[in-house]
Amino acid sequence: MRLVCFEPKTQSFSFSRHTRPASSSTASPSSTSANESFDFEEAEALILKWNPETSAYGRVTSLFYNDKAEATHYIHCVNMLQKTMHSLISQNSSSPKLILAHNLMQIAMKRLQKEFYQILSMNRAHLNPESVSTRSSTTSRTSFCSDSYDDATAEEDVRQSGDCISEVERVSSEAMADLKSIADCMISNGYAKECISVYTTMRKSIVDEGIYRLNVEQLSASKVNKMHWDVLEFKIKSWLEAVKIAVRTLFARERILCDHVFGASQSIREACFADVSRSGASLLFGFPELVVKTKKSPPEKIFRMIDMYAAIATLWLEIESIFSLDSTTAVKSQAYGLLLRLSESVRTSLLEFVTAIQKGSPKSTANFAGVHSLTVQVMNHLTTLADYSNVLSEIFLDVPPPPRSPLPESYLYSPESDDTTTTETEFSVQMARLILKAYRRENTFTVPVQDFREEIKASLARKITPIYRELYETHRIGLGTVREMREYVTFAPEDVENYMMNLFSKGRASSGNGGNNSCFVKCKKCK
Amino acid sequence: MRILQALQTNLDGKSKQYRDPAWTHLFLMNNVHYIIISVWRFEEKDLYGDDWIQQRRKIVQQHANQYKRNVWAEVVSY
Repeated sequence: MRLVCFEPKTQSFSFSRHTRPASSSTASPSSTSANESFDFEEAEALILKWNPETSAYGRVTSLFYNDKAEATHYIHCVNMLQKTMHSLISQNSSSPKLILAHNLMQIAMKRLQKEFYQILSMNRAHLNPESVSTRSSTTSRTSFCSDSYDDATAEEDVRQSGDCISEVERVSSEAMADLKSIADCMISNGYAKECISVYTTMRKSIVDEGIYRLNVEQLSASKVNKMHWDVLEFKIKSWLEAVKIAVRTLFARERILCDHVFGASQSIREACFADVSRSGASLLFGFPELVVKTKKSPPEKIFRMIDMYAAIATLWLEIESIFSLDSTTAVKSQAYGLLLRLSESVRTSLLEFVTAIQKGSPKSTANFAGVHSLTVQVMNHLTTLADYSNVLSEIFLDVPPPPRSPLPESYLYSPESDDTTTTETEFSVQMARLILKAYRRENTFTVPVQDFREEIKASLARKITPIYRELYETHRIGLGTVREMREYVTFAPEDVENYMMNLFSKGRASSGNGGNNSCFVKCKKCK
Repeated sequence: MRILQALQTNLDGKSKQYRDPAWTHLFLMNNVHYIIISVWRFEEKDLYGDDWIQQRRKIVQQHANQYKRNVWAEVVSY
């Protein structure tokens, strides 16, 4: 015969057969009249039985592991004890029974804290929060049922779903349900602090260990600067694998577990998850920042930057969801700031690449007028960049391009897009912007000599208009009808010709200004 | 980013180092041709479009013609 919940007569009978009242009890027989469904003496005996400080049995045995039904009953007794205390306080705040109840409550809370710690310890590697979403209701019901009812429920589950819960999943589900019931009990009885400290200490050590096992280590900027590039590149590739596992498994599961165990209190959920995840996440998202800051600039560095950017961008929705709490705003901000710094770093690297090409010595020639090494290097670089065209497009859309310098002369001869990330639309916008700037610059000068002015205008028109018309016709094929083009392309070839006619005309200053305003308006539409 | 533009500007500068015009055209022909072959291999070659390729082919052909013209000019002058 085993204990059955909520049946006083049976309780009394089984109680008298299996346990004896502690000799230290000072309760009077009339106590039962206060709570008909609650036997104070029984609760006292149960709590003292599991007191780890006075009971050898309680010191070496786990209540939840040993006897689930008794554990459930234990929690019920603790909750009822709290109600009794409230009742006693309203009656007589100096009652000896109240003092006894308070002492019992403290003993019980230490027991529950110990149980909480034991469950977290025993399951540190096995807790799988994803299992709780489908099994929570069953497990929850099982936890609060007697053995006989438990058997019936189990059979019913098998018949209804035909599903088999794996042993590992069952253990994990039960552990999570136990953790939740203990947390609920401790929190509702005023011992949240004791519960939280055990949880955050235990789970934080698991997160930190997980980050360590993923080979994300604490590094200083100076140490990174001293690394050989090969070593650093290896660490970057290791990080690329680590960040996916850390975000999708480690932090995602930690968030689910925390939300489940502390489902009763949102503020506790938030505080616990922040404490558990903060340092690990800071370390994880801190590594790419060190790479960005390093002074090393081998040609391959840009590709690793793009890789890290792509990794964060790919995981962004998950990062945003996991660290969505107010208490983890700092982590989300750190990750977002990282995206910005990486994309800025990529853009800077490309600019430096162009500059390096431009500054290359014109004096070095190729043997026998063959293919120059510069050509090979640049094309190899571009070929690899082409593989990243999707990511690069995103990077260059992040921030509007800085104001460009006036139209360079070389651009007149070869205006075709050679930017691997520029789409036709973007290119047209840039072209329009370039022409506008050139127009404004040229129009600030006045050429008083009629013949000379006409000659210059004709020269500029001959250079720019045919190239623009060629480009316009080329891209029109891909962009559809003229009306559709109007939405993307500000200037038709005729527009360019008309603007050229207004150059250097001081007498038309007012209309020229009007033209400028019109141009600005159109460009704004393009943006 | 005008990487290809910067490259071509640089190559134009290098080509002027040859005193013989034929070598100038040969150098540019070889390098522009290499650029075309590389671009053709881009998975994203649509970014440039066939017209861009065709224009570059014309440039290569022009340099080839100039090279032949200069070489034969020397032969004829003897």
